[in-house]
Amino acid sequence: MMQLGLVEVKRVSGRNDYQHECGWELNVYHENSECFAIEINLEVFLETDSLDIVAYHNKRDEFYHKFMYYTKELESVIGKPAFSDGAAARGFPHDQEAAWLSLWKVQNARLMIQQKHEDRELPFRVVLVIAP
Amino acid sequence: MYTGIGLPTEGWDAPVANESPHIVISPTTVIAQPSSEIYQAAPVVGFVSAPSLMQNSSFIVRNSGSALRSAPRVLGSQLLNALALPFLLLYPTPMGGGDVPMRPLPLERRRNFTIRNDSDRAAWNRYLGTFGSSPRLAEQELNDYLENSGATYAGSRNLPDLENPWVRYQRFITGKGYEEIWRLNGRMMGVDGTSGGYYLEAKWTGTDATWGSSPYNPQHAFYSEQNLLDQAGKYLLLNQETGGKGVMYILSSEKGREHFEKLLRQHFPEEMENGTLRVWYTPGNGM
Repeated sequence: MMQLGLVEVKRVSGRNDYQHECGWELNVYHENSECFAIEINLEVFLETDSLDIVAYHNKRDEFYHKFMYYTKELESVIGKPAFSDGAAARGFPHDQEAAWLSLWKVQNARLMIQQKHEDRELPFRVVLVIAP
Repeated sequence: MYTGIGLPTEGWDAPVANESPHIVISPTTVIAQPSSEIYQAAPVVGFVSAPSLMQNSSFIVRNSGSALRSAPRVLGSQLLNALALPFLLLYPTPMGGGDVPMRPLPLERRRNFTIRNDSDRAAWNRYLGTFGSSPRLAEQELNDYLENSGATYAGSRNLPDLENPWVRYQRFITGKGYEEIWRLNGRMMGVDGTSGGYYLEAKWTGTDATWGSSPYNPQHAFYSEQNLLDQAGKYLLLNQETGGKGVMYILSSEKGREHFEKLLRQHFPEEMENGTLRVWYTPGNGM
């Protein structure tokens, strides 16, 4: 982690947080000493519960466009994703939780852009996820 | 503890000393006791000093629209006539001061008002503190507070047009494509649904396979225990205000249920024990 410019800033049960020298944060989730996900939040909107219905739908659209933007950015670097669709689509990874997800298979891991919003009172997020 | 019309029986902290001589107003009688100093300009709820009664020729019974003339016996009969009032708010006025126009509160709200929590108490103390300098402003503020306190149904809002699991799960649990909006102590609150007199809160916590990455898992970076407890507290208050049977949390994973059971039992032990607050696991299979 040090070689990547990451410094551990917080450690709680099941999660270690690191901060990069540029300021962004990385969360490492683990269970029984095995890492099952690394997350970097690319975009976050916290105040979801305060939105009226119009603002809420606008925020949903805004985060969908952000999801598409980051998908295209990554696509331009590592190629077309193996999967890119919504949570109800066939082929959506059963161990992942997201509204929209683009997935690239790399050597020993899956690289994903996920648009998350797990409940009305929880944030809208676009997240870069690395998982086994 | 004093008793009387609409008097709070708990947490009473108005500036009336227990040992002070006073007149106690009860639904059936007014008892004068010889006495001393309390209240010159401050409002009185259910209590007024005997000397004040004798020295000031007129009193206003709040919202009765009439000025009451001196003697305790007369005051008592007037009070008995006015017992439809929720609580009697008496305060001395200058000689011949007459009535003071006030905006009446909705009767039900006044009748049911008691000091039950910190915000009620704060509003009441603000009222007492402001009254001497600006009675009308104090009245207005208390009225506004009372009008905004308690729970009223404010309508419904459709679930978002999303295929997110939480939307599908909520629809699956409540059977409805909308949720209820309540106004609770002046603030809006969303309620996922109701069933058989219980309020329902559907929580999509993923499956046991994805529980690790759920923000309802305490290890998650976006987990907020305070938000969860605030929400549970609001549900319980809403349940109490509306005379509901209880609040049911329904979770999509067994691991999520275990966590909520533990958390809520730790912070709301009585409600969990007596069944006012319940936690269930219902998987979202087929949602």
